[in-house]
Amino acid sequence: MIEMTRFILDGFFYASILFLISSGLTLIFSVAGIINLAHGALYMLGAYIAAVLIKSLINTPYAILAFPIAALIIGLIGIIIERGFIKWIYEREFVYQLLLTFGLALVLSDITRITFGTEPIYVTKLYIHAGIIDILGSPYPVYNFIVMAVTFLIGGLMWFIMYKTRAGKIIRACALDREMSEAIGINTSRVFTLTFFMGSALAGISGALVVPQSAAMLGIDADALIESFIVIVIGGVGSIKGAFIGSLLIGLIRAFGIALFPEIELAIVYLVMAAVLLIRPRGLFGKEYRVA
Amino acid sequence: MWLRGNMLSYKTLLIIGLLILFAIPLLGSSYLDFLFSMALIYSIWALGYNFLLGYTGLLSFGHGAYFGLGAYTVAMLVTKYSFRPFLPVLGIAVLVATFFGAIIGFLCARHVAKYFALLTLAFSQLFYALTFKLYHWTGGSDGIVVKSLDFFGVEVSAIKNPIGYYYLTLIFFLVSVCSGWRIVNSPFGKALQAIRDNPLKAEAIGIPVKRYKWYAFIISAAYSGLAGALFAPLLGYAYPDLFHFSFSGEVLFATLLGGHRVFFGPVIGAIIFTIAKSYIIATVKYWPLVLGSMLVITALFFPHGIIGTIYVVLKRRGSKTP
Amino acid sequence: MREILVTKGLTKFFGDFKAVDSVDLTLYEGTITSLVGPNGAGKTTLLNMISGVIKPTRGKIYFMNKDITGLPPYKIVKMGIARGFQLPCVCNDLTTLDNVRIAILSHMGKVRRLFSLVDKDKEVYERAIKILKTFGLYEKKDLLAQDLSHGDRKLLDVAMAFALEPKLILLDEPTSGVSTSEKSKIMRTIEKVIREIGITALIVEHDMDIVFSYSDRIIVMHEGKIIADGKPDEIKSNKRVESILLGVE
Repeated sequence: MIEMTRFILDGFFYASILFLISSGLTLIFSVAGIINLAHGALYMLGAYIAAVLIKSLINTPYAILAFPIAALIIGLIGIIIERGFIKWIYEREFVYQLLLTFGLALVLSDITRITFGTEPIYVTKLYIHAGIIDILGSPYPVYNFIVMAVTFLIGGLMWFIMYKTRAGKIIRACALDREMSEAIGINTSRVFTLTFFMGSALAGISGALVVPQSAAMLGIDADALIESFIVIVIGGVGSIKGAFIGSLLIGLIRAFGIALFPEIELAIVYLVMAAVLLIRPRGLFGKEYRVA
Repeated sequence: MWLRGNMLSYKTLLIIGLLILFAIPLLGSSYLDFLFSMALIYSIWALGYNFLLGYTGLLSFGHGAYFGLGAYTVAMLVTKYSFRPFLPVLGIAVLVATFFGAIIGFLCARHVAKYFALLTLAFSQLFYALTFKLYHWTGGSDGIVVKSLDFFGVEVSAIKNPIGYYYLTLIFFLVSVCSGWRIVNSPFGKALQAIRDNPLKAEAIGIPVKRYKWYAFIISAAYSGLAGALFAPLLGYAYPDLFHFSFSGEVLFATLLGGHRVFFGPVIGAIIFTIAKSYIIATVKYWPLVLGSMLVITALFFPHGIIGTIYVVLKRRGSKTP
Repeated sequence: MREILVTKGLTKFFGDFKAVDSVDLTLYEGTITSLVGPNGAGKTTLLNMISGVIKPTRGKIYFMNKDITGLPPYKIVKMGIARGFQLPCVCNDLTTLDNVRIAILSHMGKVRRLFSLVDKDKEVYERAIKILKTFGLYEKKDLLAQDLSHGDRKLLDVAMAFALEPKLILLDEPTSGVSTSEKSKIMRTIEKVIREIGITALIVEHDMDIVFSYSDRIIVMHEGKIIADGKPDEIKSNKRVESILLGVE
């Protein structure tokens, strides 16, 4: 019973990280129509930047700024990518879009390797510093709760922006119908840039948040990209609700899998994805495809 | 007149190219034998890959998987199970790659292009992760060393007999090119092109589009498996990075470099790519960076590839003559 | 006359929008029926449902007494229904000849063949040439489809449909986008082929002059429903039809 609680909480933790990164991916996809294959690399870079910042600020109260700073930097990189590269290929066949972001993914991940080296960077000090809390008689790290709370806040903030502000309305209009939005005078290219900023920042913050719990290391870019994609496949593209449910599902499977069946935990995730693909190709909450 | 002149020189170019390939070992350098064996293997891989990309219009980011499966099957049969007869080993390797291609292709091919690309990537990464997890069997990050195979009593070893292995590879290359050419110019090949150009119309003339995409995937996986199977004894070793998405980027780039809308484009692209890569890797430690940059540049500026651009230019000029 | 196509209560909703409203339609073998009506009346949606491109929300479709409701397009094609599209729908990177050939290969069941060469198949080539000549595309047979004029692309689209030797052909505005001088020429070609072989045809058309010149029967749709159905003379004298088509109602 105690173990069960632990697994569930771990599941919520993974789900939080996943939710942040996959909502970034689905945001960019549903608004700009681009699957940003470099999204995982941005996550990894965010992790490394946060790790380095935390390490250097560890003895000051400013260490906590590492997270928003990392998010901001990654967001800015997202803007650079969009303005510098992606904007040229919006009108082209999707093959070139995928090719471009794939190339950017390779470039970004290698730049990360060159800059930060091949050794993982740990910031366990911060993790421990956050403390332990007693849950049903067994200790559980406070940090994980903080991450869940932050995710909740960010999720709420996103919901507020998307549904209660004018900017959000404009973004949603672009997602629904780009041509129509242009026709009524919306500056869609600025909307795309903003979306890339937001989506990339989400990738950055999720990478940053995961570092204290595990580490900043090479290879997490591919895993993050694949997992966030699986979340979107299961939950359905363009649906924040779907990303939420999908993240929860994958997060819980991961938590229980790692603990109970470490050998096939990965396979279970893929099996679920394969099952969803076969039965409901549009995902659980996906919207009808425009011309893809 | 111009176009006919073009046809003659096309055939001449092919013959010259073939003669050059046959003459490589005469240059007496076993490094060149090795390099060109690798180039031909990549050509087979790119040829298979282009069934999907150039002829069916499907972009896969996970074709390293079938290459890797071919390589690992050979490695395991030879090293772990001491089963060394060359042709049967190759055949089993191709079957294994094709088998997984059929399963994964079935799941992926029914989907819209953007999903398809990422799905193929996801499945390739699955194999990557599994290779590490099942390390007792697959050797984990160390990979599996491949020693020599046996061809009716004659030892097949790329290290001991580089010239012999080169000609072996060349034979399989010619088989692949000839069979590939026939497939592409067959009714099935035309159907794939129709699917590429207009899936709605293809379905409207009675072609079961999803099913044919699946078939194209299976054929593509088979060629990739063959390439991987020839690769393992050449390098002497099968390793997990074959399943990593950056390796899949190599066949994509090689295919686009040569031009994915022309039959021989991928072959030429693969040869140029292999030669270029060997020089770049020797001088620079940042291969993914270089490969990634080249992909970015190709996406932005050279969508037709080298051969493709030449072909397009010639066609424009050809169709302008009355 | 034999019934070849019957729809019962065919309905399609797009979200809240009712595009086709409970259509009961019967087509008789060997007839040419025109489907007319203002834009948004549901004509193309009706064609889409019959050809399998869209699944109906409600209702059934019977072709030669077999239930074809909801079948995938390629299966419906195999049963004998072919379709021309409103915007010319052809394979751009294939030649005109190849476009027709692939339709013929598909119809002859040869499309599965992996190792025979298309260029060596004399029978397919001859059939393709015959069709190209009928539709006046023979001179352009080696051009890529994307290099053809708009009118020729429409003809190619229609030619590919005829190459399937269908029993029922659905054409969506076969003369739209074509210059006025060519319009009647194209319709005459199409009508000639249809009458010679005895194909049943359902043709969506906006140009009423053309409609009156060849139709055996005219069906008028408005806001998803059939509001008139009869011989050209009956429709001509129908005042309500006239006001709808003039956009007054």
